[in-house]
Amino acid sequence: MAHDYYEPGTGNIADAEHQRTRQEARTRVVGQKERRVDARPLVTGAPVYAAEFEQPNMLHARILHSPHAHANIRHIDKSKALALPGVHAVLTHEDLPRVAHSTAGQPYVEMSPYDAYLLDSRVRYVGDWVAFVAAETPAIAEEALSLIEVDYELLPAVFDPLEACKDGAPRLHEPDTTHPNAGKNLGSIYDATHNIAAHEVIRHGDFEAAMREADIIVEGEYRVPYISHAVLEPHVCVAYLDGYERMIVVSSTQVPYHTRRQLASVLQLPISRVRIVKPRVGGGFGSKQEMLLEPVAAALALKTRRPVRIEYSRQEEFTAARFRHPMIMRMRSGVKRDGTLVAISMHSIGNASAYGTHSFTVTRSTGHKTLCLYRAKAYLFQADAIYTNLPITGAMRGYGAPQGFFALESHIDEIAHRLNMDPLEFRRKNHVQKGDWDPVEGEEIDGVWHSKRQFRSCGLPECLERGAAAIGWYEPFDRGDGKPIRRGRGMATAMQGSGVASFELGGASIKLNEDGSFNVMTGATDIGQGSDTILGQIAAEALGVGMDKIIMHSADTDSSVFDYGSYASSTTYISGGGVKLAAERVRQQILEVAGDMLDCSPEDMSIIDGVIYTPRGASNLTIADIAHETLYGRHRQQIMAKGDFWTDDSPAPFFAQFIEVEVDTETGQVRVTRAVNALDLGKAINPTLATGQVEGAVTMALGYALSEELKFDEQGRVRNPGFVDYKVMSTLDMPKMTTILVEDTEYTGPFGAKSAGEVPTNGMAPAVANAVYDALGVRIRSLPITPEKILQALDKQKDH
Amino acid sequence: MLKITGYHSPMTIADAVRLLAEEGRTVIAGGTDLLVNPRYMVGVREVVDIRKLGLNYISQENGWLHIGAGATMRTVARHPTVQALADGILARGAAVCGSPNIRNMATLAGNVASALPSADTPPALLALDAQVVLVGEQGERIVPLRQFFTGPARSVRERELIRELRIPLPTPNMHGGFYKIGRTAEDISLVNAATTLTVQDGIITAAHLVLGAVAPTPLYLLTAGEALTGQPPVEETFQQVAAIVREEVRPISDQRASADYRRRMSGIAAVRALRQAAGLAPHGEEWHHA
Amino acid sequence: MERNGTMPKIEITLKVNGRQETWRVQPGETLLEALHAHHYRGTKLICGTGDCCGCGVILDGRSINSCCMLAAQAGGADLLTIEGLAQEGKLHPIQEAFAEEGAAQCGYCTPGFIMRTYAFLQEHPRPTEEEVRAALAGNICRCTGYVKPVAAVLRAAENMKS
Repeated sequence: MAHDYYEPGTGNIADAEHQRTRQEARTRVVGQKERRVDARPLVTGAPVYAAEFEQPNMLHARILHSPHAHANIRHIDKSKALALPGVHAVLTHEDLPRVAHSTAGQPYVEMSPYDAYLLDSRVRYVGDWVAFVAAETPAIAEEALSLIEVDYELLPAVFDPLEACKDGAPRLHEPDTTHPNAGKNLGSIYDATHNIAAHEVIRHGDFEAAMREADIIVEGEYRVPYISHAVLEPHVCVAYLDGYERMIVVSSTQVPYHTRRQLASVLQLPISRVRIVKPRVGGGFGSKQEMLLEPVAAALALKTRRPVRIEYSRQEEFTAARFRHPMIMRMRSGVKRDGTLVAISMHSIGNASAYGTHSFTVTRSTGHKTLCLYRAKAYLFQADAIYTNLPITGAMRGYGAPQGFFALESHIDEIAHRLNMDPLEFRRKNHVQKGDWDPVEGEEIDGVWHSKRQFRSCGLPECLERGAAAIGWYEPFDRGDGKPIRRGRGMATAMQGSGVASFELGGASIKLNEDGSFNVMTGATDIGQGSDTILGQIAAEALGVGMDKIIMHSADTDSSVFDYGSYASSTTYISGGGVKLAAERVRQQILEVAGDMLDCSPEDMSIIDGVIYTPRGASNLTIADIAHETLYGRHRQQIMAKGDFWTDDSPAPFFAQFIEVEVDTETGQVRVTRAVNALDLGKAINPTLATGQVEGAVTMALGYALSEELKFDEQGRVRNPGFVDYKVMSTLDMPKMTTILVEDTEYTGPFGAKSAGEVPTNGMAPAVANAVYDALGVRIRSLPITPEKILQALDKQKDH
Repeated sequence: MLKITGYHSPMTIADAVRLLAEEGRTVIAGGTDLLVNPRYMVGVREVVDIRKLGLNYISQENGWLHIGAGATMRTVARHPTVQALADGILARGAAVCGSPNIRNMATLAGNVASALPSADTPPALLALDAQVVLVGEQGERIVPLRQFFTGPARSVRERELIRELRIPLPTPNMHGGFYKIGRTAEDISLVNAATTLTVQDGIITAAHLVLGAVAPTPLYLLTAGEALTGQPPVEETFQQVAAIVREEVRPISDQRASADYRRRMSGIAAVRALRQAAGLAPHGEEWHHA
Repeated sequence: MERNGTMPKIEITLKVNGRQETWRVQPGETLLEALHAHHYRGTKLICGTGDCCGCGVILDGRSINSCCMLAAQAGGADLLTIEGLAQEGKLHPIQEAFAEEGAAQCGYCTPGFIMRTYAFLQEHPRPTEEEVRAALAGNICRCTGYVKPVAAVLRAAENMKS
């Protein structure tokens, strides 16, 4: 493909930086299986989570949720609830400023409509917020909810996005005039009359001309369901006014800084009066890339002037938190008989739910993050996100890519079978290669494609090679022909980004203590993925010390450097890049003092395991000596520096999923018996944490493939709001798993690293569909692949 | 926090019965159903704990196996006599009931008292012709389990407690089978089936077949038993019975499965349980993990 | 003692992590709620319906879910919680194994896994991998895919042999 390109990397990536990364191939801390810095509190049950944070005189809040999918609130009578002994406040929409906003944890200006209000006179889904109560105990607050009398005017509701965008369908929102991008189709509501929250078309090349070159055209429609993050620590926070009248919110969040900004806006407080503190977080997966309970607790704390705690129940997590967008994806592609893909198209219709948080960006990501995996002459992608009266869809691990890759990788498998080609060989022939420019992330101006990123690293060939060998892709196996239990094999490939190109900022400040230890203060949020450990290892490596000298602190908007938070696979690459810069600056400051003391040029010196080295070898100075010298001696100063990182780039990690399944043709039950997960992550900063990310993501995706689905009744109520009927995988459902880490160095990343946390979520669902096809010859195009769908497909196969 | 105002822990059955005579009180043992399912707490103000009544026994006497109301799922699953009973179908049902932590608290009698159609142990108990010993103010009464269940979470039990379950010890030529179908490996039954077959000279002389989660109560299929009796224990017989099973079940569609799927699976589960009882398929020994 | 707005009604004595304690609990209070009220916060509330084993503790030697048992029922019991495993700051071999294997990611399920492991290894000191998987079947983890927790239990068994 001949193109003119924008020069990427107009952020702070310099060529010199790339060169230095190349030279630092030998590492002492990076690449080691260091124990997590928070291992001890986690295994001892220490009270380190927001759920365990207590304040004297703390009140407990509960939320009244709407029982109706769509209604106007004619009148609310809260007098009986307020009269209940122990109740301190009841807030309704009449008590709060009506500030249009988005709860999406995205940088300003959010690419999400301003269609939400903390409380509104209208409710738009079963579970929507109606009133907040603060009381002496959770039980009293709960009882008070039942005493609030609400007079609802019921409105017609719509649950199917294909119905919701028709003329005359019930309308959920007015045009969003307060969004800074209103009218520009960059986040604000696209067409309120037809409930279209967002719409986008991307063209690259002449699609119809390319399709005319194709020998075979393959089409298919794929569907994926509503699923829950099923995060184990629910949303929880405590808000209180401190003695200085500042609003402190200790919250289980992935996005402290975005939450600070949004909370200030919603409650009309200056940002300077808001402080968000993130302690350890018991899992996020995107559900906490949102402002959720923070303004509830804060509004009640402002009203009562007492600390207020609120924690979602498990049922609320399954009805009124955030969910993965269901999608309908229509694929249409053209291919030549020799197996060359010439054109790919996808139309994604996302269920934007009652409020459009993340709907634009997730729906566009189904194509943006996926179609670029294949070379073609032309690409056509359309995204539509449609409002419905269902619980709020938002960010979830993979962010549209798991949806998109289910469609794309099923579709690619179908194309390969149509050509009688091995699906692995077809992928090898068509996938992107190192040096290619992204064919989807960019824009076409006057017929010329301007790509936004180049794939400088691509370990996909090695992932495919080693993954295929590990599963024995080319070896025969017992397929169970003629028996009730049949076996098959399937595979899928995937990619992702490392942060959102141009939309990231992260890093840390690092301070030297007198014993040679360092405080690393970062705004990056460890939510269980282990970023404190990863960032600590990056700092330790760059400083020339062991992990025992690193004290991690994350995150507190009063003391951490600004950071967009943990999402979009950004933390290692973006925040890690910032941490590395900060550490190098601190190291430079140390060496300048040491150079002065030893009469040696800092450029000629190094630090290994805390000892200062000159060209003559180890000196008698350690970092602790330098610390003493700077804090008490003649070179008096605080050695400290900050580093932050942003870039227009977003290097892609690559992933290959290989599996073997057993299908019981009498019950329709599918069991994945083996899974080989091969990930190219550039560099494993910590192999234990990296494989942990892969294993967890693959397991989450296995639930997506087989069992997880939020189900609704005709009134829009969730029918399975608990672990009894929302089935996640258990130890006994797990395949024998092999994880392969491939390290194709990404020179723009810290120590060669790119991301790892999301991309392994993308392969399992299509791999299961493909393996089921291999086993039975039936194609399941909707998730989850339930026994009933298998039996229906087998029945149909028999009839033919 | 449950909205109850009283907790009683009587030391004798007489005291327990007296306490239960009052309106608004209910029995608690393991608590694993009672405390998490609001349907059991409707109208309940106080609970009567029966765990200190010395009822956690499993004993054998005069041709009967007695399982006290305090015996946990774990105890039942691990008991050698229960494991030997008709190839261990009751032990297996107990061993797949909930998680290990649940089985350490939940009792067999509680599983019966809860009277859920999808419960794991009633099918085996019914196939073994178990009886329920109830104690109330009027004294003790023995109810065949086949007459015990009256609907979802409903039974003939009044203001009574289950003292024990009794199972007639079978002849050595009685064999059993148990099969459970769930969505994942650890799940509530979508459908389950338990059976016992007595075979003499290659002919089934007595047969019980019970299906769970396919009707408002665990479903004892008299017609299936009759159809099996007098036939050889072979695949053809079982396939004929499967047709009867599919005919007789009355499944519902819910968030777990459709009625159609349950109906179809009732035949599959029945055949798979019958094959075990006939020695045509291996028995599971799930109790190893109980 | 005034707590939760109403006067606690039932006094129970029990042993918690080897120490005799007297609690005043309400009739409707679960064991988990009572643990939290007495500042044993390590045991987590995750589902509250007995479906995830995240609130697991050891009651008279058996692992149980503290969310579906009344506190009043624990009178006279010998209770071991996650706080009782480490001795004078030294981690228990199971805790060591979970830390070493990276078996805790977000850590919210970890106390439940560790307590279940404790009870399991008492009975099966030399388990197979299959037995470990069966033993942890009710413990839900959303982060790890269970690979590392299973490895941690096997490592703990190895460590405890010596």
